[in-house]
Amino acid sequence: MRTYKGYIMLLVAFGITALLIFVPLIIGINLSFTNRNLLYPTTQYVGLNNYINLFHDPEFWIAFLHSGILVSVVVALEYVLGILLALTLKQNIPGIHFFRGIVMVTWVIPIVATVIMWQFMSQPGYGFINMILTSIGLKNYATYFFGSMTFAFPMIMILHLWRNVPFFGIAFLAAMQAIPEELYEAASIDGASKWERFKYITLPGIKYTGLIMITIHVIWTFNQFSIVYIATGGGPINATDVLPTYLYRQVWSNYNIGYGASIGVIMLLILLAFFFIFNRTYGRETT
Amino acid sequence: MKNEKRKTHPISYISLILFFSFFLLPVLWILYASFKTGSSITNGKLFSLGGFTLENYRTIVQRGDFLLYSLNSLIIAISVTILSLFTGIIGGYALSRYAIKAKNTWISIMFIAQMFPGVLLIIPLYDLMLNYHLVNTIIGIVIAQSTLTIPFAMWLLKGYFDGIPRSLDEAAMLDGAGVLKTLWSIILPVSIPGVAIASFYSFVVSWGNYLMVSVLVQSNSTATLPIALYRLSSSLTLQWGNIAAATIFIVLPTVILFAIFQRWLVSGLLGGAVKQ
Amino acid sequence: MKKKFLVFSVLILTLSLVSLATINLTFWSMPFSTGEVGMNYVKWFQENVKKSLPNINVSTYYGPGQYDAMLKAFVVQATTGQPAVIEGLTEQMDTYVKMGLIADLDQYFNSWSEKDQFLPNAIAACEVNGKLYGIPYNINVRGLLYRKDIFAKYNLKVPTTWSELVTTAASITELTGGKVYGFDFCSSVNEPRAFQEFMSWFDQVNNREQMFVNVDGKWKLNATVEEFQKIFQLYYDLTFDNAPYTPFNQNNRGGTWEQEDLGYIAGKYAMVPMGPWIWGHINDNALAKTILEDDSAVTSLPIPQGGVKAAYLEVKPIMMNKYTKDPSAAWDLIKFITSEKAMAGWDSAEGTLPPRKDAMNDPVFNNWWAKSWEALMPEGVGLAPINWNPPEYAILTAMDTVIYGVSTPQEAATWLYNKLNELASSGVLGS
Repeated sequence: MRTYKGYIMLLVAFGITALLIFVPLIIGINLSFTNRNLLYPTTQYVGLNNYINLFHDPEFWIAFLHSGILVSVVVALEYVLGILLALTLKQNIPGIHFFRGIVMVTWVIPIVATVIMWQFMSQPGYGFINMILTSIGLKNYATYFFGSMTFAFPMIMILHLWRNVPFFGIAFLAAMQAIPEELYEAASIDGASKWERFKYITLPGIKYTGLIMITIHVIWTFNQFSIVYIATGGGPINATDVLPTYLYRQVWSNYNIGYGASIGVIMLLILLAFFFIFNRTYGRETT
Repeated sequence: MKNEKRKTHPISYISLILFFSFFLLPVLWILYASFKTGSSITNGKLFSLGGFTLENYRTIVQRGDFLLYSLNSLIIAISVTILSLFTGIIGGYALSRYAIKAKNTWISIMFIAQMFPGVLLIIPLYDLMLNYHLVNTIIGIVIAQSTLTIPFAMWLLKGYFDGIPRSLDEAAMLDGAGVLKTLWSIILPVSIPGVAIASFYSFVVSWGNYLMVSVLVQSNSTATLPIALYRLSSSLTLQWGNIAAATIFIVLPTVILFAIFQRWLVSGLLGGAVKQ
Repeated sequence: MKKKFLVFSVLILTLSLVSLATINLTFWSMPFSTGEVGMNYVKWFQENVKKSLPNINVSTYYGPGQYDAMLKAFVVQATTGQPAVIEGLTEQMDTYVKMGLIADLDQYFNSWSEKDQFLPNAIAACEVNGKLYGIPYNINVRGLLYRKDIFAKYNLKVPTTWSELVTTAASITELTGGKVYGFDFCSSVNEPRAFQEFMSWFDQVNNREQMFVNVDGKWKLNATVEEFQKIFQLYYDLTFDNAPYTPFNQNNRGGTWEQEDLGYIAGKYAMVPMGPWIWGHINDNALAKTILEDDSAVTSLPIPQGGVKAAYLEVKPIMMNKYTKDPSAAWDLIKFITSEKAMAGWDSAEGTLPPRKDAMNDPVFNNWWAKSWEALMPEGVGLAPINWNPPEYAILTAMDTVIYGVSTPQEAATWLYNKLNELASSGVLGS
């Protein structure tokens, strides 16, 4: 009897989820096999045509490349910087509790606000970054970074890092604090150096946390639309175009819903592939 | 040996200053700008003592209807949080406790649901809303935003419940409590960190959400802060002072909430892992 | 549970019956939303629309505030019936017509007593396939806005050709040591203004002919690689000539209208391809007032060798949502918005010109500014009624590759030519 109540609970929860998420998802996948375009009243099934066209589409591959670079570089840096931040926060410096408390604030700030803050700081003339550059003699580099072919993509990466490194940092800090102090003491008695203590005690201790963080952030970064769109719209030219912004453009500039849907499905497949491989390699440790 | 560990290496101080500058200066800078007049911001000087004013805040509240938008954002965010918690707790608990057929499939699907890009999801979602007359309604927006938060909440809570020993459940059941009572009186009180973080996450995502709202909002009665901020930043009367004030407006509640919730942050996110 | 549901539904029913008495309409307008038209006018509008149309309750929410965002939102939600009335650009109007989202206004307009007040070319610009889809409220033709004080100070001649434009602008940048750049233009890929500026040059090179013409129901490209190359060469010269004192500030690449307009009134440029709306900034601060009132002058845009006088004609329409539940109320609202007083008020506040004869005669337009822009009207060339979004994106992408030094003008021109042909034959421009 009691088990049935449990089933009903589950049904309710999944019912809600199914309606909200799976129905649109299935409709979306279905759309990818059509040539639906908002400019035309009729829609037909075109099988795999959209996918074949994607394969031959140079803009798609550019966006794909950028997405790939963005995710790998950003998540890798977040991992490394996260560890560094955690190590820093672990120290018993006076006032450290304040910093521990406040550093994750970058993650809760709405993305619109984050982009605006950085755009403001990048304004030529009165932007904070450019004023600093000018004052230390690097005036030639003072420009609107989001409009520069060379600097726009690195700036996008910096935005991602700014937002997410504290998340990594706090998570690693917690994991590090959970490592028993005795392990370190025993190791130093045995003559282990600081680096060896780090490598053989700290790193394994934070492994689980690290894997979860990486998984979450690969998904978030890969699907992240707002940061690039609000900051540069994918420009200048294609310099910062990523798959989500390319999809958006296909849907909202060309009104090519079917084609856009196929990009979405490809994105989903890529993430699934990543998840599958990742799970295979580290699966045991994440369950 | 013990003394060596207690001494803090100077590099830690440098590291702290670098990190602190990088993460907090932008926020402090915009806070500073929100209290300055437009011309004193654009005069190109790093710091000037003149030009401090409350005018920016006054302008956006009076001219920008910012209080109304804040109210809308608040109502929507709270509703999203409640809905996500409800679904997340029930679903997470069931997934954690019950041996359900195809359980792993469900879990994987829940995980995959977070992967589908929001940009594309809007269109079928919008079509559905249109058919049920949910466009430009608070309910519609709540539903749309919940698609972003429910999977994560359920996943997080399931993970957290996994870390709570079943013996607690069994003890309660032996005492005659039903499933719902067990959940409510025994499990939830022990799950405060997990629940806190799930609600915090839902609130923050809803509060900052722009994409869904941009599609579903048609009037002032449902407009939220991200839309207002985005509009302001593209306005002809581009006053950085106003934009800065509006940014602080939108950022402040999340920072305050963060201050309240951060003590549960770590244990909530990592649940079982940290305990081990 | 069932009881609650019943009570709930009865409540909803009652509320909807009550709201049926007054008609609620939403009107989206970019200048209202961003305050570009000035809060005084918006207040006047709100008070007077209540007086003229007491049965209609017009929402005080005027839309997302950016043409780009307005279009996307409208495309998605037009079938809900709101916004009932929407303001926009003719490019957008063309897109809305293709998608079947806005109503054909012929019948309404023809039975309106005031219809003869409207300028014929403005009405023509609002027609698609011979049917009227919008009532124009704003008309302007682009011209060259320049700082006559700077020209006087350095004894320079106002340029009338493209090559003069480049050399004069470079001189100004050099003479002021880079403090004031000779010229500025928009180039962001999402910026309608950048596209419109390009089209001014194009119209001059293409003999005022349309870029796309309809042949047997299909749209065909009516331009050559050489023409595009000529225009891109202009952009190239403006960006790279006479370094480091280039006519155009390379830091402004990827710039939007804000950068151009606000930069001009801050004294950053000596010449810009502009329209009359910039007058709306006159009260921003003392410098803006001085620059606009005392130091500025208006003339035709410079033309290329072998080209003709031409400039982008902008007509902005007020359109009716085809799915509105109250078309006659929506029409009443449109009539109010485009009535003589309302239009004169709106346009004078924004500094643009009204496409109505009676409004144009309003003394508020009897000043040197309005007269200067009025004089440029004959040069105006409008847009063909197609979906301009994809060609716009292609044109600006190509232009960007030139000004960022990624391709030569010829490479970019060839690419653009092929891309536009591709778009035309793919049918995405409409039929």
